[in-house]
Amino acid sequence: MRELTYCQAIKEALEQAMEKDHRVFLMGEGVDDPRAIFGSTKGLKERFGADRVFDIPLAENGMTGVMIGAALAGMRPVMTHQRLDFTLYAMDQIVNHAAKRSYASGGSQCVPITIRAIVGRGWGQGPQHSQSLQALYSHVPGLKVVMPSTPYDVKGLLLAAIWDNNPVMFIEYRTLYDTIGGVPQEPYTVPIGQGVVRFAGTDVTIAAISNMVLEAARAKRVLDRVGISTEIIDLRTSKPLDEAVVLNSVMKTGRLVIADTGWRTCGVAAEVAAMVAEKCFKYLKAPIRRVTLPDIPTPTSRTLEEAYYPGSKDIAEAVCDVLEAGEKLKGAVRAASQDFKQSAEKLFVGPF
Amino acid sequence: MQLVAPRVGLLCTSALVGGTIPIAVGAALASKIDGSNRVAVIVFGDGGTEEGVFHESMNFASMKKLPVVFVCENNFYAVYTHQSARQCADNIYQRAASYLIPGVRIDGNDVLRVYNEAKKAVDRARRGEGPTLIECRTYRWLEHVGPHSDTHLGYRSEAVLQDWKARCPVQSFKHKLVAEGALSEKETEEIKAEIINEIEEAVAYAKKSPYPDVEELGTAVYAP
Repeated sequence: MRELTYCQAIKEALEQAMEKDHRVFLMGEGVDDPRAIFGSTKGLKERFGADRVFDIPLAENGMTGVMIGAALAGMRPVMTHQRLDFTLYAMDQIVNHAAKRSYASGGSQCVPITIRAIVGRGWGQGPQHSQSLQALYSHVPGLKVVMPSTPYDVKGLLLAAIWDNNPVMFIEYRTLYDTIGGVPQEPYTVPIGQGVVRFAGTDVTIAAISNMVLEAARAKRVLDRVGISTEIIDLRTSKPLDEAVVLNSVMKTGRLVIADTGWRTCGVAAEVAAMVAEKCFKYLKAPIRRVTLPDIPTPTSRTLEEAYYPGSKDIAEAVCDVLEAGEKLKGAVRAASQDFKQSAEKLFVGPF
Repeated sequence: MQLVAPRVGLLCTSALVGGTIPIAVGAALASKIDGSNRVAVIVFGDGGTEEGVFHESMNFASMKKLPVVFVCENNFYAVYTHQSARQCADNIYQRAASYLIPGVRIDGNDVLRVYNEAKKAVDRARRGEGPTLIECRTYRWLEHVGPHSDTHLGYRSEAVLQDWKARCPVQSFKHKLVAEGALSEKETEEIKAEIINEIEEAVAYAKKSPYPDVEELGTAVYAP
């Protein structure tokens, strides 16, 4: 299968959506500027024209309202935010308006909007250019929240989001942009609300989302070396959550580690943990462990950044915890981790 | 505050003041993209002009020359707080100027004046010349929400209220039409009876309609 980067896959999805349906248009700060949202919108304005691909004023709330109005009038707009943090300007329109239209109109109206939002990381993004707020949006009935982790999924889920008749928060983790994977040429969709088992295993379940799926996969390479059979689930959507894929796995392994890109308190990992405790408590052999950001805003200094972000090592340690591993196993895991860096991402050198 | 009736062009309402202003601009944008030549009219109160989203909407609508008419019903109060306690100046109609949008202030109780200004604004929008802001000055007779009077609360004067009541838009227009011979008294009584009948039918329908079944609770949270 032909390979694309995550970023190229996004662009292909946008192109194919706009080719297929004249009601799809793209708006956002910088969508037609020279950087083209890290390349994900490059050439789209030249191809589809300024009426369908346009820059917007620094007015996120107003422009989200504009997007909603266009959707109510029959269009299928896509907005891009260069940072998920900027969507907070638009909370009124997203939560009070977009999320409520279907319910408040008794199902007679819908808001088929897709809001792409990038989680920044590295190069001193700092507290306001790096927030991963899937938990916030997942809390709101009426919204869908999607966080693809692979190039294949980002194209399929973006097309699914654009064809979905509901407001979808489409969250793209920045460090995934250069990852490479097989992406079919033709248009296809990946179902929203469906998780997937990335690796099958029997000793422990790691349920992860977005970038943490890659960190879980790195942890698995260490765990493989010491004979631990790891099952990794990529949740792909945090709202609606695919409960069955997690429950089926926990019923098999009895041990669960949840790895999320957001903060600990009230995060998506907390929701998954509560759900599992409610629905298959009897199958749990040990308490659930969560691997998340600490409840601290993102630091700007590089040394603090490195300490801040959890990665494959933290996941491997959490697996040891849920396995109630003795010192011998813990030592073996540590030894096997020696030649793995905390995270395999190239140190991002900027600019933004 | 969630009324919609797209069949007759009522696209969206909201209990969040100002929230529908950009939504109207979005509908106008769609009209421009799909060539349907529809004009979006957004009605909001004086309070709505204080929300940031009002300014964001005017800027974008002006820049793209979108077919939208901004109609401000200035009744001088946001719940119980007078405009003078919320705005630095009584100049709503002038605020559009910095966005290069023509703004006009009119007596919101003068039916023909409102009609003529609205027509000018709609025609301007259809010609592709962009938005207009019309500030209609009027008054609220009853309480913020509900069917009762509330001057007993003391936040506004009975005398001012009576003044405005004497300038009732419906009564004034009726007198004008009769005086000019456009309608007879009898015809005005017939129109009134027709309208009262329609209202009474609607009230009767509402009163005899059942409350929703509990099963309806979770329906339509998401569109299919």
